[in-house]
Amino acid sequence: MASVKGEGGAGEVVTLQLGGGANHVGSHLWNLVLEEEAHRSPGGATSQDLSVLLAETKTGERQPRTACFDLSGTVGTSYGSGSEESAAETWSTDRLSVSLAEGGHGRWTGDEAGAGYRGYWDEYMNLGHQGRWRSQLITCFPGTWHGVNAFDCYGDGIELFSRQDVREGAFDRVRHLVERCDYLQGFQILADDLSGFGHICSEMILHIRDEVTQSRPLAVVGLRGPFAQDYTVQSNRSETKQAALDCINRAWATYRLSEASDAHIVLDNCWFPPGGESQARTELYETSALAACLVDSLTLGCRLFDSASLGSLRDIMTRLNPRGKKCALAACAYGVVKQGDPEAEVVLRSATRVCPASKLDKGTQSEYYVLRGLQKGGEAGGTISTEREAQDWFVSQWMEGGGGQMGPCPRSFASCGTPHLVPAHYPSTKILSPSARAPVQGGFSLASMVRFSKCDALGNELASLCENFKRVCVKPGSPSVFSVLEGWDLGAEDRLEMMETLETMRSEWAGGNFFDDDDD
Amino acid sequence: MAAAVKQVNAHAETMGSQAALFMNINAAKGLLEVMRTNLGPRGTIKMLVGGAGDIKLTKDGNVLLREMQIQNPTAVMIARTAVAQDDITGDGTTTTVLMIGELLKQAEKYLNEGLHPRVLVEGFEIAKKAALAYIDTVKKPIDSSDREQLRCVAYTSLRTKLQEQIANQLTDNVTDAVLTIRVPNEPLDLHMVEIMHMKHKMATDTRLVNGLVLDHGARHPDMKKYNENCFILTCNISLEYEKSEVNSGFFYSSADQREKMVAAERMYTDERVHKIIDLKNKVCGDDPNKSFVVINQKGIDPLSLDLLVQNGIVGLRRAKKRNMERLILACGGVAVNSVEELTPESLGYADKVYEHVIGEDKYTFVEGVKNPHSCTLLIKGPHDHTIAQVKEAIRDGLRAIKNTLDDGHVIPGAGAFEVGLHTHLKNEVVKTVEGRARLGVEAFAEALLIVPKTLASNSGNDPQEALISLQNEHEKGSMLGFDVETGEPTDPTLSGIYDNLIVKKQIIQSSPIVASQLLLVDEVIRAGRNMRPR
Repeated sequence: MASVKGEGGAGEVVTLQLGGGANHVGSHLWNLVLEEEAHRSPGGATSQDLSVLLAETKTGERQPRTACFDLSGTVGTSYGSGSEESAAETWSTDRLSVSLAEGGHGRWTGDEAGAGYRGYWDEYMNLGHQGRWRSQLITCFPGTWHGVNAFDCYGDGIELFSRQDVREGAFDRVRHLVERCDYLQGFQILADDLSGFGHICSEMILHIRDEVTQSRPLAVVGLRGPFAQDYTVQSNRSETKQAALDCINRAWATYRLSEASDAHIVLDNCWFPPGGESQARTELYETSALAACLVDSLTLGCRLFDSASLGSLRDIMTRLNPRGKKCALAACAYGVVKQGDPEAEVVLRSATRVCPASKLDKGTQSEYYVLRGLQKGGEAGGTISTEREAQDWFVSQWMEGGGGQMGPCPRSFASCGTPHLVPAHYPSTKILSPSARAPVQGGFSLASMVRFSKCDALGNELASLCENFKRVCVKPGSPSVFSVLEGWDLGAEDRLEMMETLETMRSEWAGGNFFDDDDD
Repeated sequence: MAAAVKQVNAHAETMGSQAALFMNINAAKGLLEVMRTNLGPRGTIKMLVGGAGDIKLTKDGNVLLREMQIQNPTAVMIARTAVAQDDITGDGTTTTVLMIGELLKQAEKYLNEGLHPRVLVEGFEIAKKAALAYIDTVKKPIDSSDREQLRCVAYTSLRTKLQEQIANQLTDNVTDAVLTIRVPNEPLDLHMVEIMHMKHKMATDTRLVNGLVLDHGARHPDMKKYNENCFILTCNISLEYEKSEVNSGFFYSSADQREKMVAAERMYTDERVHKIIDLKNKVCGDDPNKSFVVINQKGIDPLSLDLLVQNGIVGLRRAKKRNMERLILACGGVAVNSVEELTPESLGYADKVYEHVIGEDKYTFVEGVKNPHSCTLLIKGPHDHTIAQVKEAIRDGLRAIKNTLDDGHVIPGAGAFEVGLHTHLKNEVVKTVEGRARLGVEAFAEALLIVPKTLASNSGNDPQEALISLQNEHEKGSMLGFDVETGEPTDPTLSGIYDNLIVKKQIIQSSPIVASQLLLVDEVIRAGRNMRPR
């Protein structure tokens, strides 16, 4: 495949984490990546070039190339200071695995009314020896009275991010990360995009486009539903108003983020654990671990060494979105399986409400599969490690399942023979497969399969979003909705513009089917 | 007594007029009690501990109100007013809270005797007008070129937030910083003072750098760490190879052709680097004593860095956008946006540019500049708490000087103004007011005394005693304030304790308004469902 990289090897991908959900996912992501790095044999016999994600410090440590943003009060220390009290709590696998195994759940499910999830993501994130990276990686946005100010709507971020010191501090973090890069490839941004962090994310994107790079790819992973932190909700909200606000949030996030990014991958739904949705909420710690495997896959293609590499992040974005961007909304599904489990079976689970999880859906516009550490099965045995093998494996899976044909669309594969190495305190994957509930002892590894795709179902979702938005917001019937809109400075003209942009996106979707002519 | 509202909405929770009034008064008094100990140079500090055990030490009212979790709706309203005070003037947050609390406290006395709140509110209004008129009679004109006077204002502000020793030193730094960036007949832009912090040494090592400190360094190991007689090129030109837009991919039919296209794209970047090198050769010639520094807002990739280093140029990439503006003001020259605009005239100049490394962080100092209209306050401190405290104080100090320059006047501090206004209201204004509104004026006058009383009690003195001696002096016609060191009346103009005119005006204007509104509340109705998950 043609790829134009920086001459110095693979370029760097900068990660930004905005919001509680994003940071939970990010924490697991870095734990996975750092574990992989730690297991790298001195000769460098790994299949991946982790310098894409990790920077090297002067002392030779490998540090995540990331900036974590959250509200003060939601992490172990405010202002992101690496001061004494945090240094006392050093990161150690032992301490974590013990505390998580023992009382983790009781403490985190929260017995306080309305407390919801009570875990702090920085408690289990590997922040380097003695937690010394803390102040370099974590930024807390101050000034929001946590627990008092609502932050669950897209517009709630406006007030916070209009404060100049907050903005400039945040942008400075990004600048620092970028300054350290020699051949910047692009950004992956994780964000709780329906909350106030959605707005912050869009401001961040605008800033990156203005100041950092006009053309390098931006991949946004939107975390919603069970993947997102539940923020304080404004009191006395009626159900209709809640529904209207949901619609506004979705429309706004799609309008701002899907248009400006190169891929907007929304995770808003997955299988729920036995306790249902409410249970999933309290298990953000576990849910986010699965999302971390998925996010890890996003950059896998450009991390693989030469022969297996799929090129740069840009090339991956192009595969996902062969018709160019406009609306970068993408869906995804994934399966994770514990290695060595004889009954294991990789089942694709939908991570997006509208994305069908079956292997064969009609009306896909493009697909991109990432496989990690999957066994070929059958007589051949061994792991799948090349693109070719991945492709063959898929064909065999389809044939075996009697699934008929693959839908025709541009389809690409990235595969890596080594599974995710899982750090000791990584949550068990019991929500993925309720049958495998055996507690996990010590190290284990996970094989995964992730599918990113653009499919018609997503277009339908976009269409219904358009309709909803038109009904609810263009001429809002309810005075309370109207006042909320005004409060966020969404005047009639802005709403019309949003509406038009959404309509344009929808029509682009409709016209985006790769083999339009064949269907006739 | 079933409230009428119940008939309108059976689910509404209501609170009658008495209860509502006292809820408001109690909330205001509660907030007052929280904040009163932090007022003045001798005020004590608060330790805020977050849900996760994070710690913050502060006595800055603004920081307190922003960080504290306030649930009571009345208290939130007062806090918002006080925070707005800070946004507008940069000071007086604590005083605003004290004033509002004390106004309500005074009002409570009269309300208990059955007075209608409306009467008090009328009195507040009269007192407010009189107070604003009084301010104009006591304000002291200030000579904006007199450094000492500006220094006094900054010191008054800093002294309330920091220890004496650090405050003393910072006062000079802050004053000089503002004087540096001031351009006659142009509005003052405080952004032109860069505030940079280093976790290094002690807070007393904080200093003013005449020039700029950038928080990054040259990315090439061979670039010189110390340069003298430097030409500074401030630019916003991408010196890195960047693949163009998604859809405008390369179209090639063979590997060879592709290589050529890549090379051609690369050429384009190299050309820009060569234009800069040409300029360097033009201005520096072969003189080894001259250096050339490129400070770029965009990126510089390793190949370009190599080219630069081969030609003895120091290159810094990804500079802060605001620093582009500051560099121009400090070093001269213009910010160049394309290589076509490169001329010797567009360059700035600095005596020395050198790098300082602390652990992982690099700092670049650009010092000895031609026409410094921008400068850097370099905050040092052993840990984040100190740095955060100094940073907040510096921000307020800068604002105080800016306010002084804008107003052209100052107000004597140390409580002298409040006691003076109190005496004025009691002796003059009350007599001109007919009827019961007089009580409102009296309440207002009494409320003002919270400031000197708090100053006295926070410094370990007896508030009543201090107040009486102060009032005695004022009766005699001398406008004295309270000296927190000696506990005796002192002339603030002699000890150089000045407050900003706009701060006092703002307090006088906003506090009675909030207090009046809270007094006029006759019913609290809370309807609707709480959507927070239970």
